[in-house]
Amino acid sequence: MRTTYRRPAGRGYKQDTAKPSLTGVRMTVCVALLCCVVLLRVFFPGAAEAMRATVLPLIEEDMDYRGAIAAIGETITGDTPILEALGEIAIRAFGVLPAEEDVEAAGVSEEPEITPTPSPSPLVNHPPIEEVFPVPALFLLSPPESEEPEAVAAFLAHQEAFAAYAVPVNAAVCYLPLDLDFAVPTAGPVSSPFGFRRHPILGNVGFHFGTDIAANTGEPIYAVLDGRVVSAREGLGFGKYVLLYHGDGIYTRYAHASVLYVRTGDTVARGQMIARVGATGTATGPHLHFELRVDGMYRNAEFYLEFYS
Amino acid sequence: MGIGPYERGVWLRFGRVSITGGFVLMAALVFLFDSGGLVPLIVFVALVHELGHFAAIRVFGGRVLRLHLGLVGLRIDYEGRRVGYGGEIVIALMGPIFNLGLAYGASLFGRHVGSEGAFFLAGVSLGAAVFNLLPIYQLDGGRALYCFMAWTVDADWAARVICVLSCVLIFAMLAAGVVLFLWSGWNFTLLTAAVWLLISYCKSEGSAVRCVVREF
Repeated sequence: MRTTYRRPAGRGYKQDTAKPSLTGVRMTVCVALLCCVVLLRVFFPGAAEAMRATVLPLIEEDMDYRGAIAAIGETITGDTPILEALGEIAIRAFGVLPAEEDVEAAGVSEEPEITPTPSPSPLVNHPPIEEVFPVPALFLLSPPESEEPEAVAAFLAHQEAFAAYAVPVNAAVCYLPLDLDFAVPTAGPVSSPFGFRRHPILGNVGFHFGTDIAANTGEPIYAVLDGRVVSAREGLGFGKYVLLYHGDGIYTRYAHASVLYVRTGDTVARGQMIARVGATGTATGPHLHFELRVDGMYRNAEFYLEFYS
Repeated sequence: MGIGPYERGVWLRFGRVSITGGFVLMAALVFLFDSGGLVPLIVFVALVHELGHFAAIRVFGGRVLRLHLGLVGLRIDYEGRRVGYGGEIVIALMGPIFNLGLAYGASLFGRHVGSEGAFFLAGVSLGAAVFNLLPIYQLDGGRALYCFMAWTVDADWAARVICVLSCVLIFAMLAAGVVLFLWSGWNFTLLTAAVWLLISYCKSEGSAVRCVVREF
């Protein structure tokens, strides 16, 4: 017996009810829209480009989707278990990057017990970025180890206490030479550094993707390099923040501001005031949460910037 | 080529391929906003996915009746009098399996030549495989699960279970999408995926491959 496949019962499986005339109208509208788009792209490429430039940053601004997806593709044949990799794609593609603003601006985070060991830490042996992603030649001026700032050794020694924890795939703890002259984003001491840290209240270990700088509300925040404002708005976690793109895959973020002085699409110069320190979003006190991202990897800004101590 | 409504929403028909207004609309949007060559890559991943289905259909002696390009994806209807539930499960899973194969191959290639583009292709292909394996009726995973339950228990029971499972998953994704949207400030990736699934569910369309003629 030949039987036609039965659709499952349920609201979603109603039989065809659309009127032919309605279908025709719908299709005509859709084809007309397609024609408009084709005409727009062919005859007014500038307008189409402007439209893309407006809409695409809204989708892409916060997440380096391409880098995230490529990192996942890379882990397929890597040593990371695939399920862990899928967790990472969720974290990265869906932008679940906890701001981790749990440290009071002036407070000092509880330092974990450091037990330095002579054996090399896995953190020290973290693969350099050029093994993970091909990077522009600018960054490939592989320096001798001796050229590393002192902060690098101190940071790696501090992070050894967390050697048992896996570094997030979108963050790198090793030093990458950047031949760039960064301005100081705001005057103030580092209240919570980049990297692994123990939550001052909950006691659990988490990774801090940026550097917190303690400063009073209203202190100016400056752009560290020339760049373009990818986004200047308010989010729940970061509060009022500015995300700048400086070219060559370098992004910087300035979060928890009280006032923003720039708008999406603006061009900013190194040292230009872009916002003022505040405590918006998930923050327990006024401070600047500063992030540096290079080619999709969050990096320790403390290696490159002179923060007040 | 035929023009005119022969089923809901379908307006254009080239032989066995039918196209809806929604697909045209989607094509227009994609054409307008594609800037980084992402679309050709996704089309390639989709082609490999469908190739998996087609190959399995051929192996099991089925015949493709219709290729439906709608707003919510590409659907293959095939005649499978000799296929059976077991074959249908394999046919449904072969698309994601081909994607997994492509992902692994591209990742190996990327590792060999050090190409980020190949890693990206691998990531997209892996994502496509995982998404299509979700146990939602309109996707390959749901289709396979439905066939498995219909085969081992009962078709009506399977239909009810998969209906409830789809609804629960879609609404959970919607809720998570809204939370993420609010929490992150603007990120609507998950919300878009959930709305997409909801539309595909309500329209009873999707990316699944289905056997529409079966002999019991």
